[in-house]
Amino acid sequence: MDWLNAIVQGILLGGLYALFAAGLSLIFGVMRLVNIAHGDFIVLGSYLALVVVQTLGLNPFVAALIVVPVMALFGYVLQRVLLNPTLGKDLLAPLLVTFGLSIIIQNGLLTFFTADSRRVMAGGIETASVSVGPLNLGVLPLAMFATAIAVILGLEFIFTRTSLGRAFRATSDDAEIAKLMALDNRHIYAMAMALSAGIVALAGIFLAVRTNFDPSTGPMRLIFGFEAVIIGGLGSLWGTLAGGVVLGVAQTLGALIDPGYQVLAGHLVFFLILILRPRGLFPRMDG
Amino acid sequence: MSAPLLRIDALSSGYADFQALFGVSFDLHAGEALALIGANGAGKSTLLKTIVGLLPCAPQMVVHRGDSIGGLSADRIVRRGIALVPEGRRLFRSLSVEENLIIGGERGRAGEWSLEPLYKLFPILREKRNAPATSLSGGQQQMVAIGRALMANPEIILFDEISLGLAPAIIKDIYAALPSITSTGVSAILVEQDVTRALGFAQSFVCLQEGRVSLAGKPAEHSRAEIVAAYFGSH
Repeated sequence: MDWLNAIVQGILLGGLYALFAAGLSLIFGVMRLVNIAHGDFIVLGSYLALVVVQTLGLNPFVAALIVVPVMALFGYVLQRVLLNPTLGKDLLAPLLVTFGLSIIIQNGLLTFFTADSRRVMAGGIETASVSVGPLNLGVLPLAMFATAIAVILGLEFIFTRTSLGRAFRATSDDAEIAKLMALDNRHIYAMAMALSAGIVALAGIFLAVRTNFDPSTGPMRLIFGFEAVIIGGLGSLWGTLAGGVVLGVAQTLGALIDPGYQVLAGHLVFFLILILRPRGLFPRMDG
Repeated sequence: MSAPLLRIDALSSGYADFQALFGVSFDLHAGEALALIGANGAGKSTLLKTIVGLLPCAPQMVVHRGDSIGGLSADRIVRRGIALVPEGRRLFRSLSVEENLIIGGERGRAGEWSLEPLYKLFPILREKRNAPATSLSGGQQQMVAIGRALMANPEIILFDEISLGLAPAIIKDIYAALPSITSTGVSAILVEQDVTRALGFAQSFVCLQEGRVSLAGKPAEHSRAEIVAAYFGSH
């Protein structure tokens, strides 16, 4: 029973990791940018949610109506002002800039919010649960998982059915020719970053409600996001969810053996998959 | 003579550490088809890329309808009605045939070219419209590339080596479609290895040699020998 419970909890946790991973995968897919600051963006979203909840007294999920657009705008401006100029033949420049950004965000948060760990209260949702047969499922993990599926469905719709999605794919395929379609690459990249940051905001809110966070928790979230992307297969949206689920299950099973093994078990499964299937579980066909 | 639609004026351009064009000048008039000929490496593709803004140059080197547009970003030049069919087709591989056409038109100008007229011009594309663009044969891909440029309803269309690597029968088909494009009043600059075919299609020509204009005029005004000399040089 413990095992079944751990597996189900791991699957639901995978929803959160898929939310971490989706934004990372999206911007890598569109502009080949590896955003080292992605985890810190998530934590920034958590703090933003904290501020909105504390000053306006809103439920954190209502606060999403403010946090998501603000983070998306932050992403858009950041891409236009700081990241676009670094994109080019050299992959190192954007990597270093986002690494610097990661340090700046961590230290900025430290200055404003101190190193104390924080938590956002959501009026009891975080502890509520429903019984399904022999299992007790938390409402919050269920909401995380449902959100992850909704986000992936939404991304898939944008990518396959909208003008913006065509522009994302075209720019990713051949940025030079995309310009000849009267597409402004700088705007397309900024829209991708805005979308990524909007998803990050959702992830940040769930993180803030689910667990304690402090300014230094970003990098570990980045690693989990990375692992989910690589396990799932680069460039595959549903693969991202699968990767998150594999990572989540590995962690909860690890924790069942010994709480100290939780994170380690996730890393080991990640390495195992890198060895057995270096391109991930669902690699893109045309890669 | 009326003011030219497009004036190339003492244009010099090239890549970071390599200059490919040296003071190239010529005019393109409304409704005209101009053949740009020259040996490999003469600078033909570089010139087309510079005109559409993929390579930088000084503003006054490219004048469109009286405005200096040299060095504007490519997306702004395309919006003015100048489209390029790039060498090697370069279709978007993760887009279907129809999506490649749609994306060509979405931000372009209004006009008579849209999916329906294109499918009439190239019926095979209607049949293949949901196929991935790069799964088509070379000739069909070239039709998509031409269609993608037309969808923006350009007033000037630049063709870069549209027959390169295609079977002769396919080349004939593609050239058979060109008059129905230029007959709508679209002006064209045609870069082509096959000089006879290019001169047969165009009303005027410019021959480049090592980045400079070596001969220009109307095909009928120059003997074959003159053109060959301008093409290969006298060494």
